[in-house]
Amino acid sequence: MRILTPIIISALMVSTAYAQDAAPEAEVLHWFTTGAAAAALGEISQDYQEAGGVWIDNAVASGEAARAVGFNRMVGGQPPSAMMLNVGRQTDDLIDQGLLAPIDEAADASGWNQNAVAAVKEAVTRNGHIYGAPTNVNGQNWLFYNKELFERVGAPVPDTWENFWIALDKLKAEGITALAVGAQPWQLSMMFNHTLAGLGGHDLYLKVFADRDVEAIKSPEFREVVDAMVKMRDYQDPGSPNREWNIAANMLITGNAAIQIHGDWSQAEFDAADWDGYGCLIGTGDKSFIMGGDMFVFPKLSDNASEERKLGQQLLAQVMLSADTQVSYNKNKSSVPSRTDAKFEIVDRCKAQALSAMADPSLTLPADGMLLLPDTVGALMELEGELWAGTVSVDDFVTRFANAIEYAD
Amino acid sequence: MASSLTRPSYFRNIASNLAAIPAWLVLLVAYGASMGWTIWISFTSSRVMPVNEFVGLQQYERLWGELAWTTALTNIFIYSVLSIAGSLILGFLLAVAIDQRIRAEGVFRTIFLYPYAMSLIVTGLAWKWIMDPTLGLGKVTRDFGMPWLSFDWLVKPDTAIYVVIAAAIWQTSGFVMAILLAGLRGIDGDLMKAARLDGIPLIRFYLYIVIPELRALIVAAAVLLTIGAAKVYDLVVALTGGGPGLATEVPARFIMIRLFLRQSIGQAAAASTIMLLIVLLIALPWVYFQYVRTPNSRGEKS
Repeated sequence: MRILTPIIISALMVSTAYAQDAAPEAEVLHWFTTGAAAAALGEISQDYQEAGGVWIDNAVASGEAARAVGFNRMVGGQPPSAMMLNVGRQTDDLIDQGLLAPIDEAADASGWNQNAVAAVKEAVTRNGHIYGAPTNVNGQNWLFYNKELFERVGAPVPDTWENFWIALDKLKAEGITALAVGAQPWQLSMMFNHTLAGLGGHDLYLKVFADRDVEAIKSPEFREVVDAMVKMRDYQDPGSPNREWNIAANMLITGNAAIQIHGDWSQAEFDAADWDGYGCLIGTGDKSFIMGGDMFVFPKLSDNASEERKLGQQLLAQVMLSADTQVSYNKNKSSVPSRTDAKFEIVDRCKAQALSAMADPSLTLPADGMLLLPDTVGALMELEGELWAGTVSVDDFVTRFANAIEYAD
Repeated sequence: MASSLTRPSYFRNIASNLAAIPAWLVLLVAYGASMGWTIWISFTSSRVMPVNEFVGLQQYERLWGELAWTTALTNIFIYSVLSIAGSLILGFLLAVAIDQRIRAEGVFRTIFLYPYAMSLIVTGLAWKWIMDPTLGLGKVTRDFGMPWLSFDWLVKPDTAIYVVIAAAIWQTSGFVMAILLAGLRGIDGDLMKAARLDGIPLIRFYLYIVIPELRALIVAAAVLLTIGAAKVYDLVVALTGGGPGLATEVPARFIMIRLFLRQSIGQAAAASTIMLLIVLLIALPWVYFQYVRTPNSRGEKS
């Protein structure tokens, strides 16, 4: 009996120790290390912990570095539970190689499947399975303008292309820098897509990027878009090459420039600087809303991964896709949830435009990254950078653009 | 006596040969094997993940059709030649100037060597702000009422590369100065006196007597500069981001973008292999002339 008691007690201790280890855990790899983005991600982490999960944070400072770490670990067989990516075709190779786990059950259980924004759901579905959990939808073709400068010169609101050119001329006549441009290829590419959707129209945009129609690219309508882009060069200031996007946004805040054509994260800059004097428009001309987004993918864990990790992954997907989490994540950023039934209490005038555009499928467009591989997107960005620098003629631009699209994978 | 002549040389110093084994392993495994693997990947269709699907020369065909690649090669050639020549010449002039036994020699040496202590990212950013037409020198001349004196070389595609070269020369000429100053100090002071006695002008003295004496050091400095020039990346990224357009694109940046951003590992591997070939093409003849050829008449080997 004297020997039996310690044996029974230690057996009980060991068994309870095993039972306590069953909490689902997830290691999350991301690049949201600053300000509003980190706060937003903190909301997801909080919700996950409230649902009983253990959040293991793995933050890497830059998007490229984070993606590189994630891909390397997947190849090496020690993947994180979840990895941040942009919604789009960055995942094609991974899915083809069988490296990602589908999250169909979590999408159903959280109700996301039934309420997702159509274009976003299509972007994360392959072979009938859902491979990514989009946390938001951000708009990429916003036009922000400094209302005070516009009033000063009597410029019309640039909601049509005629008004846009009138406004630019009036601003330039008064010696004001009309366009705040950060002439880096990725920013110029967003400006080009904004012009393609707004001036070329919803259908031309889809013909070019979704249908890969070379005739559409060689059409006079497309050429008109390229000419408009070239004409916009005359309204920038000389310091635009290699300027960062937030410096360009700051030019609006300080009144040094009047218009910035950029994504909705510029609005977060204005809000962070407590500046309210901006007007916002989705596109100019055609009101289509170009949508991109952030999402998490869930690499297939190795067979000897613990139960906690496997449970943790599915729980995390479910939490990320739930309506409440999507609302609390997006209230800190200037983007909107990826499901149509997630309601905000307070909606500012810009988000209101975004939400009403997203409710109408004929007004939404997927970002180029959702339709093309990063390689093609990068080639087009490079080309648009050359166009802006004036080192390629309009004819050569059209030819090389058509080539890139035609031979895209 | 006879036995030591017939014994093979690598058994003579077993201890030191054993000690060199880790270095050999690093060389063969870390450098050799990873270079071999990269060359292999350049013959596959790898995109974001390395895959072993052999596609022959497809990546190379695509590579040579890319304007960005041919521009990058042209740019790196212009950049290397001008920045190395500029650093050597400016470094030599600075060394000669300091060697004149001026008063505050330590202060000047520090000032000229200081840029070398800065990272290239910091150098790039500083030059970017200085050469920004709206912020830097251009703003200063405008505020002083001289708008005709514009400094827009950085934002024009034709002249941006020269700003990058200038920043590089600014960074490395102090380093060349330090090396050559050491060499100048090693030159016999009597040579200078003898030259003056003979009435040889100073320029000819430096050109025909001093520079040949410093030959070994100049070559050493040139080698180090060449290594830095071939792999220039952070300076370009910070200063121009490769732009405007493709004006300052360089191979290292080309490769990095395809490796990470554009998910084309095959392309990056192909470009890296070409860079390796170019470097070998330049380095091998030099190595031959320096180390393999029989010693010259002065009995020196290198």
